[in-house]
Amino acid sequence: MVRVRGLIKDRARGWGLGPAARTLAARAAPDALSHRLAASPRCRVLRLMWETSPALTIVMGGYVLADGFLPILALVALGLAVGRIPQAVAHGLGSPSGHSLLIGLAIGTAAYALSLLRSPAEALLSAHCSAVMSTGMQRRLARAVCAPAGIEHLEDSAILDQLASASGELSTSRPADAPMALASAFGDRLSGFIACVVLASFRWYIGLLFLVGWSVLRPPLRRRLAERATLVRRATAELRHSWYYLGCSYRPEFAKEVRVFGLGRWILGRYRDKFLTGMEPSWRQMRHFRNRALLSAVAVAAMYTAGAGILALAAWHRDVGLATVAVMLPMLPTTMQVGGVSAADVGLEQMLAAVPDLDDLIRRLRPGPQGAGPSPEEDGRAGAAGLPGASIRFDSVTYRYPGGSGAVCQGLDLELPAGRSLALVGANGAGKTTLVTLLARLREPSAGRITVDGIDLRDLDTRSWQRQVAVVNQDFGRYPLSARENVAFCDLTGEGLSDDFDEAALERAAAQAGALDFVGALPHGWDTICAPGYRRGTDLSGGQWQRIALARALYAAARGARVLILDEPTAHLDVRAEASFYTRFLELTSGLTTMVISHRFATVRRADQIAVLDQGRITELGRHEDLVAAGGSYAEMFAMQAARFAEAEPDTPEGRSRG
Amino acid sequence: MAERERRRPLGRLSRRLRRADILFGTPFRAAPLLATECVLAALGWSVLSLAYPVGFRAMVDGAAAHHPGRIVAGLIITAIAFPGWWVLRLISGALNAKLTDLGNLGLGARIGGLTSDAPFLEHYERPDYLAEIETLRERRRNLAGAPAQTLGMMSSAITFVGVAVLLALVWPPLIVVPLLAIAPALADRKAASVQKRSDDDLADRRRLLDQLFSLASTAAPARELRTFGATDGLLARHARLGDEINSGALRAARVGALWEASGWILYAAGFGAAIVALVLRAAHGAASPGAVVEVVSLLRRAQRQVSGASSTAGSFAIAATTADRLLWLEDYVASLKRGTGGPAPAELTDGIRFDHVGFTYPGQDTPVLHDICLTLRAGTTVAVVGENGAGKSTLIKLLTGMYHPTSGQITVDGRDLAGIDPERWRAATTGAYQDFVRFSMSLGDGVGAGDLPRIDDRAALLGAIRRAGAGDLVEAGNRSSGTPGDGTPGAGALYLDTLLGPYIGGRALSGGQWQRLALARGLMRERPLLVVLDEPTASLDAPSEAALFASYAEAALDSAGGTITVLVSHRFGTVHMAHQIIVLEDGRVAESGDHQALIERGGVYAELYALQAAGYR
Repeated sequence: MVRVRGLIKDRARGWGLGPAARTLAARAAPDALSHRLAASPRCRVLRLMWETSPALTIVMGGYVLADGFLPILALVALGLAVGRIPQAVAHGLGSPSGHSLLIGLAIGTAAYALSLLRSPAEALLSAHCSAVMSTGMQRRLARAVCAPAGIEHLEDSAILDQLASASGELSTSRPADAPMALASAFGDRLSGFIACVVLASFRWYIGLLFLVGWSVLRPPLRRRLAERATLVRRATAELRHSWYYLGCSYRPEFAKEVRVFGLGRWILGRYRDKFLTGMEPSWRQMRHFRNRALLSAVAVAAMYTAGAGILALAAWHRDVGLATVAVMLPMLPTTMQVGGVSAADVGLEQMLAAVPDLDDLIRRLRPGPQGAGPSPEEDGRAGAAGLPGASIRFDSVTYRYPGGSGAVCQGLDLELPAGRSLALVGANGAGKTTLVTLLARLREPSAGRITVDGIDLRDLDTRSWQRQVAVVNQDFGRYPLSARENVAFCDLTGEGLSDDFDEAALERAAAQAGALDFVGALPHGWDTICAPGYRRGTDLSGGQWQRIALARALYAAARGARVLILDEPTAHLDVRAEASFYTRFLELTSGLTTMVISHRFATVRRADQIAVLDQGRITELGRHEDLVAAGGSYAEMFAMQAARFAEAEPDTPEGRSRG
Repeated sequence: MAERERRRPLGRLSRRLRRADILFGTPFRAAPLLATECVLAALGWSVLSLAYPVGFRAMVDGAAAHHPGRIVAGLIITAIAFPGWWVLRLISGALNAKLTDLGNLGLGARIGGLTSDAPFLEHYERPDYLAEIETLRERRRNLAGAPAQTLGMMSSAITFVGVAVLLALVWPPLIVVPLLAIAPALADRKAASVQKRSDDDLADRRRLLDQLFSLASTAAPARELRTFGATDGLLARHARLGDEINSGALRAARVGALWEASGWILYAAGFGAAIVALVLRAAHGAASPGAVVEVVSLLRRAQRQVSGASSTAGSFAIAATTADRLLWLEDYVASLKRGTGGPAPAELTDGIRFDHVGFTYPGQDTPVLHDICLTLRAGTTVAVVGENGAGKSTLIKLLTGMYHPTSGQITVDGRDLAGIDPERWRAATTGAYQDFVRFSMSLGDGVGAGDLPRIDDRAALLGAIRRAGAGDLVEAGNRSSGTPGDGTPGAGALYLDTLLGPYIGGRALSGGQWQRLALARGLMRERPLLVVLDEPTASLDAPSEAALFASYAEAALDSAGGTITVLVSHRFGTVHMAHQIIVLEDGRVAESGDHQALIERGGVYAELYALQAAGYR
């Protein structure tokens, strides 16, 4: 045994793998090589793995080594034992040959038994790796998409595509499984390489033949597999359509209309069409792969016949002993692993395709001077606490959606005096909501500027300014959190609420928003999770959510926000609640710089000023009475709604008495 | 459920057959040729993988005995078997990938078909059902891999039997070794059940994790996260939840791995004993050296198969439990469809009558509606008002057949609504809802979805869009340039073929614009028996609202088929135009009558009306 190992070492030195490898490495400029290596998806996966968990990476390294060496060690030791069988038969197990047979047998069996633990070890490692990586990758992605202070990146379809790819939505192989798949592939390659080295100890050229042969055969096949992954990636748009249709068929928010309009079969037909259109190119690619594989099989046959033939010839001429034949024969198929292309590679390529997207997304979204949209905290910029003291001004602000054709705002001028309220009215799609996002610096004006007390928004710390703005969005968030966290949203932390959480302010905000009563009646009160399907969870109605959203903004105001924006704040409220909202409008907004967007004149008319937005400009501005008197488009809209009540008016004593 | 099955072996058998059909049937029906190719490739490589250890034996024994004929025979066997095995396995992998894709497609359609086929909404309102469906959808990929896994298991079986036979030919007691593989197989099953329990346990938190992620990465909530400064809090929450999930999942993985390891240790013991025994026999001249090489090679094959098969069996076990979930869904939907019956009437002459109707949501105790008695006369408009939670939307759901009353009955021209096939009844209805869908598809398709047979009827589409007050929003004709949607909202004309919705890279619309398209969809069906408008104008501006109600009033007027229009609204300026106004309070009808009558009555309606009218004075 020992002797043979020495022999292998001598031979290895003899044909000089080391220098050859060194020449190969030297051919590529070291910089270019390391750069190429760093850019390859495999290295990125490893780096990602290392960054996520160094300990796990080391354990996996150990696994790769064991996976590579143990099976070969077992084969070699057992082969050597077999080689001693004829002598043992002749001289008995007590002879020196008999002893080396027993030693080989013991080592071989032990190595084999150990290598049998591969499967549970792999299961455990892959569970670890998959858990750590999937949460780790999602965490990175979440951090990346949260990094920009603006939101334009979340409306960019290119970024959304990358996001879908990086989060593994697009393939059947989860990107988080990539490191483990890679480790298994490395282990196999290592086995194959060692097998080549063992063969080289018999005839150096056979080892080399197999090493080079597999290395030449593998890349074209792998390239084709990689192409498949690329094709799937390119079909993202089609597949995304198809997932969307599938979602329509089972998701609760579609359920009612799917049933009323009988859309089930139609939707699934679309799902099928889009899926097939998306996948067809990659399937076609697989046919090319098959042809290439058949061609390669011929080369494999030639290579194998040459290797086995030389071994057979040597055996026949008695140039080599039985031990060599017994060791070398099983090595021949084992070398294959150096260029193993297996079904798992398809999955691996798909997983790897997601990794560059992850890196790229993180890089693109990293805030910085080159990044698009507003950037968060930069040194030397003033905090916004206490602002505005005087007013917020829009100074000929123009805004165009990136890539969009027309301008939403066109040289818009508007002043919001601090502590006063302004109502914004205008047709649907006039750009009211866009104005809100500009004000909150979620978007950057394409031209013009927005100032607070004369300070350009760009000179303020973005995050700090954004916290000054409390918004009830038209499509307000319905968070799967507890009722308390939904209202005290601005105090959300990783666990519970921040230390500054103010229970009294919470109750006050809820009471003002008319949410206190129903929250008290929820099964677990403030601790009820506001989402169905969770333990301690329940569903809230549209009106209840509206009140929660309002309470959320009022709580933020109690915690220091000075600007309150109400975008259709009563859309989901019933009559009593709406009436109570507008009668308390002044109380709710006192001391706050308020902007309210509404189609309901009961609310609009309570504002100190009303601005009419039309075609991206403010066309009318003034108090309700003035605008009605002026007889412009505001007066027209108001008259139209009021007329509905007037028609039915004459015989309603209650109505008149309230007027 | 399990107990009942144990008592009924036949039911259990049929369930197994159905499960088998889910696991392997789908792709085989979808692509018989491909499936056959897959089977043949798998068969081929399994058989060839057994051939080359036999060739090794011939070569080693030939070398030991210096027998050139044997050496050459062995050489030929291995030179054919090895490359053949290599290439077939490659091709088999490629073919299986496509088979899995097809399985994915078929299963998606199956799950989607079942959920959208279930005539009622119960499965959407019960958390446990919702969780089952969600898990099912997530595990679809796993299920789609089942056919490929089945092929893998088939190769394993072939290899196993082959290995056993060849081993027995060498030395009969060796047959025990492959049989020992049952130990790792059983241990793996145990590990899979540990895994399943942990998955069930973590399902809630996993769902929350994904929801938090989607909140962070979707534009609308991302706006709020920023203005409320809650981004960091959300990220921290996401991180903590991830850690919790990981520690739970890893605990289960460790227990599972211990089970697996114990199974393998048992196998390793048998394996080692067999080799030692064989080599010692050979050392005493009772077996040839070539036999040892063959056995080692064969056992190596067997071991690869076992470890391959055990990891396959693990995912297969998960696939099987997923298949059970699908079976559950199928049974559930089938139970709903049972006894759903006759056609809807062609027109209404009398109307819809509620006869002491009560309703309690499944799985809840408190009734939402009590003892409702109402008559909605054919050819009239009916307004339903009431505070949030008064039961308005539930009333609408009963009317559209999304649920059947728990007590009393609803009759349509005297026929029990429960006796009418829900699908056919709904084909005679149309409507628009407060929580309308923003269909991410072409504008024309999103509107045309309201009446599928006329989805390509441009005149009908434009007509409905115009009547919904969205005429100025949409240009007739198609975009000549055919430029793809750029995923951005903003100005620029909309056409019927304009893609909408950022998710698919289409245009984003404002809330009001979406709502008008939803209304247009609701106006597509011609001559419906029932039109329900469940607070559809919440985010519409005044001129749109006016135009809309004019068009519905018009449609109701010329409803020769006796169309009933039911409107749920908080806007009394609109409500007062209805022929009949129903005021709901706490699930009961508090008042009913026309505007004049209710105002004179001086009750709830009169009070609320006055409240709102005050805003315009």
